[in-house]
Amino acid sequence: MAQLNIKNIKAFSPVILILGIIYLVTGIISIINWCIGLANLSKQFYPNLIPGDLGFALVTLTVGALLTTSTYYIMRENIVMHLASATCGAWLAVGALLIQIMVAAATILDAIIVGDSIDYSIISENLLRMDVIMGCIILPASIYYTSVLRKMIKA
Amino acid sequence: MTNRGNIRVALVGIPNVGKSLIFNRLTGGRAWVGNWPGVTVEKKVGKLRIDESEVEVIDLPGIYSLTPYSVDELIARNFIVEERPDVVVCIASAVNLERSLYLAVSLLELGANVVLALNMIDLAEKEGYRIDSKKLEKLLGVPVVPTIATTGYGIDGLRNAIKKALQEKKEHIHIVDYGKEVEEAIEKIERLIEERAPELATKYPPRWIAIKLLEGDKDILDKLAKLPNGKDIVNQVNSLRSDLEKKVGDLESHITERRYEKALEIARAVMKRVGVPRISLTDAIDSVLTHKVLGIPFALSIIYLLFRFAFEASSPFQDLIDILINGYLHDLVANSSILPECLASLLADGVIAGIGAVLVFLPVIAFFFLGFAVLEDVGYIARIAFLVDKLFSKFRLPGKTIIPLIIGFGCNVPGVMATRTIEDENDRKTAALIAPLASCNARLPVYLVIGAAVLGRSAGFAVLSMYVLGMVLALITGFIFRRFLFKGPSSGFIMELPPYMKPNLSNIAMKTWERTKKFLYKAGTVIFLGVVIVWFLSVTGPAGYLGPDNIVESFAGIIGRSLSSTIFKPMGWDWRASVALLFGFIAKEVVVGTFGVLYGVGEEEEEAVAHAIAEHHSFTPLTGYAYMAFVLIYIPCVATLAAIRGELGLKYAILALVYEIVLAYVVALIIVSGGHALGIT
Repeated sequence: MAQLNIKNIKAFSPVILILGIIYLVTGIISIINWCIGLANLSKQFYPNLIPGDLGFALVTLTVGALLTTSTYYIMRENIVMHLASATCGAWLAVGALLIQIMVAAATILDAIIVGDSIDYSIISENLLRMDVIMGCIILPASIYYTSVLRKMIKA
Repeated sequence: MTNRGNIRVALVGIPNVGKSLIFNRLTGGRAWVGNWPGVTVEKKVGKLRIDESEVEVIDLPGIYSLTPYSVDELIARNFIVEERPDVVVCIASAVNLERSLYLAVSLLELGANVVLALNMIDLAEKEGYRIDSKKLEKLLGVPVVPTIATTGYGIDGLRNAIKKALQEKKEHIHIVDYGKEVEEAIEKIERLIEERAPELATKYPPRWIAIKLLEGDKDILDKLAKLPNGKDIVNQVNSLRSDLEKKVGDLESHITERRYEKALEIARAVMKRVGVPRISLTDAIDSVLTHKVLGIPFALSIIYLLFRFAFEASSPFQDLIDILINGYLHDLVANSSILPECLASLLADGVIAGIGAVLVFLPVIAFFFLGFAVLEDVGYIARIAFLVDKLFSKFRLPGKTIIPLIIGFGCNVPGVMATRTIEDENDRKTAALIAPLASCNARLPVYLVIGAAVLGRSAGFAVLSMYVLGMVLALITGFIFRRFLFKGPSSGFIMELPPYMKPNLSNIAMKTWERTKKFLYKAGTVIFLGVVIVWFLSVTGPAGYLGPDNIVESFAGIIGRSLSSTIFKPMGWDWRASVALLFGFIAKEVVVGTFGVLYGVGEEEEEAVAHAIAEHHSFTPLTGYAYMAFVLIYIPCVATLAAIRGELGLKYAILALVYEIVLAYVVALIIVSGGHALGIT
């Protein structure tokens, strides 16, 4: 069982690496957008999808770093560290997704309270963001890695 | 049972052992929260029903030993010694047994009627070992009840053990053997105390006093010295101590080592390995979350998400309160035709605006404490503190100081209140006093407006530098406070990392409610008063009542002009800037609004305000930057000040007020004069 898991984990690790790189690139673009916004230079790169926000950049870079580092650990045959690193990265990504969903819900509720119209822009600004999209993609990985980590530790 | 009338049970345990959860399980979560006399350490008291009797349950602070290194340890010890609770429930961690047994052994030496709750037995089993509670009971000579606080397992058994202990008191004072020479000295001191200080011997177990005297316990030495024969006994003890130290070395270390060896011996005797040693989930996760490179960005990310949760998810509730109080209620009173104009303005702009200012903060505070309680229950807050402990210890601050500072970037009020999680009183006072130096969200509009008006392309860097300046000043000020004002060792250097646990909903709800309630009660009164005073200054002048639209002629305007021509003259700020600082006392956001009113461009338009400042040449880049630094440091807003008063008392709120004004003035003066010296204008 444990052996099978290790095979699956090794097979899954390139996907984790790709997700990690996407997160890292997102974080870097977010910093660039932040700098552009600060200096009022020119148009930002996909500002709705990747907001120029240092906090957003911090979270995406951290998730990216954790996911890519997990690949380094699997190359060194350190399965526990690989699992811990990938799981923590996936949890953070899912945490960011959940918070963003809550923020979107709060924005809708806020609009109802202050009497504003609820239009598509609320959804596009709050939900069509990289942290939400990538969070949804990584959600199954987070569940899988958590269960594998638990099994590996109990085994 | 004692003859005081009420039966009392004290709960004691090392930090993060699940004490609060057991307290909630025993009392049903109903607690009265206050402070211990003379200090601001929280005291929680609840009721437990045993048969027909009502038992008072007192939650003592989380401590590692009964040697009074911190206020918490002194409180716990004094309560057990002076108040003599009928039963002391020592909550031990099954995953960190030897540390918990050290405390249990200390309690037994004190002559307390101990019941040991062996908590987290599930986690110990997950880590591959089982604890023989029957054997432990035999070795300690007190009842031992295995518990799992998170599920409620063993709570009924604990209740029964308390009931039994109330009926038959057990004492097991002579539990540690300190070696032949030391034991002989203990016996000598015991006899000396029984013969020459019987009043002390009736109050405390003589053996315990003897051990404490040999340890050089200052509190007991002071108590002894006050007795008629005290000084003579102290001299004899000191002579015994120096003789013994020649044989066994440092006596305090010797006694601690022997006690720890005993705890370790018992722990080894009762722990049985039932599975192959393996990595626990906590160890696996900690290898990443406390990693020196990966751990810090993860912690900052979690804090950022906590911020977003507190500030953005709570916004509809803030708006709701704002609309109801500052909108409907304010307009209703302000437009009332029954009330005279002056009274309507007092009620609408003073009283209702004051209450509104408090209640608008409420959702942020509640959401923040909700998120914080989840992280605390999971066990992550201890990890954040662990990560920065090394850096902060260089400034004599515990790692936990990072929490109020980072939270303070959002709002200083929850920042100050988050200091409650710091166990040591001196550390907590220092953290609460430096928390307002974290640049809160309310200061950002001021930086942006001044930056846009006079700093051009350097504005972004200037804004960033404010955050860095705030952190640097907080660390330096913290160091100065710890070095000169709040002397003594810091509790933060001992760091216990609890295992990760599933958060308990009732525990989280109770923590959130208790912390939020305190904010409402205490901050509300001071904020209300502050707002009314500022209202009075802004609507009245030498000519009497002027109305809300005539600030220039009001007392506030007069004060602003006199400030700019005297104290603020070296900085080169005009009277409008001085008035804005005065109003910033209510909330830092008000600074921009005041500029708007004074320049006649409206309160809301930040761009228009920045344009007006630039047009009137109110600041040069240098004086503008100094103004930004002054706004960062100068004074905690009225809500923060109220929070400091609530947490530490009026004396410390005044200290925060004074030191921040002085610090702000000095920093602004250094910026302006340093800039001039370098030829910058």
